[in-house]
Amino acid sequence: MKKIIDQILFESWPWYIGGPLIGLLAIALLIFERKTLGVSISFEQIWALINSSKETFKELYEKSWQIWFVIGIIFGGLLIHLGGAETEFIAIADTTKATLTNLGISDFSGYVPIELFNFDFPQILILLLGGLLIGFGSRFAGGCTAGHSIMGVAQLAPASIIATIGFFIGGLISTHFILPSLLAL
Amino acid sequence: MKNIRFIIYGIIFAIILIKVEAISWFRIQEMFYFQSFHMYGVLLSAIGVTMIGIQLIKFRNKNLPEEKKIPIVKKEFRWKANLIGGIIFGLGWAIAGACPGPIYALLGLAIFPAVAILIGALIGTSLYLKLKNKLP
Repeated sequence: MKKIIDQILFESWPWYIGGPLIGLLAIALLIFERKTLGVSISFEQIWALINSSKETFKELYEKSWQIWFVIGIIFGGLLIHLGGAETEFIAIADTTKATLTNLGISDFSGYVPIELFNFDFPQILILLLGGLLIGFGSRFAGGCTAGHSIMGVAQLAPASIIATIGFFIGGLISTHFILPSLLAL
Repeated sequence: MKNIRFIIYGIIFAIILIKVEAISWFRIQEMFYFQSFHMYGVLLSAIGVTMIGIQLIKFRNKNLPEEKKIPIVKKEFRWKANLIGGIIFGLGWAIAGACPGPIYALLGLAIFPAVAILIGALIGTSLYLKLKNKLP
């Protein structure tokens, strides 16, 4: 029993556990809270908060559940961090490891490569650029992976199917043609 | 008090995203190189379960009076915005290796350079809000 609990707490979960749980969470939000899962709208809410008067703050406090949801996401990460339940090495495919090694990644520990996730130049600017495209693109498209690719595609909403096709077109262009040059900087 | 419930939903969402490694830059690269089924499995099974849930809700909604129905909100169809915005999002997704949910999860995990992604996302959002009326 202890072994099973340790596995749940300290090891990664396979896709067939994690994926369905994301779906159950989306459905629970819908049934119990009548809310449609979505994360990127929180960028607009935080932006409004930064520029806010007392009124917008009050309105946000009452209406914008996503602000609380993303605070929860930060807390969730913090819980795992404080509990020491992080995965040490992500078991990515050997082929991916080889490809990334060719691009200059050598440290495969943790969730993100230390060669990109640091405060040096130009790395910090590359992350900023990535974020800028994420913020602009998700608000322009009307949602992100959560709102469009999961919630929207599950409803077979044409907007979400088109947006998700866009996500993959952009992602493939970036991974194959842009990121290799950025990592060489 | 209701807001505390959303914080709890967020905590659960983060734990799932982290435990299934959807927050990993490495996993996102692996996905875009088509070298593992992992992320596709996560996305497809999440979509599948959500789809079944929505069908059940719709089925139950049929016999309920209007005010008791669970509202199912469909995303607004604006194909140019969906597609162009989608492509721009995808470009950033693969560079940062994180979509919006994972950006916050990385911060919680004390991976602080992710702050740059969040600041970038806020700048991108403000740019979008400024240009909104000129875009399709």
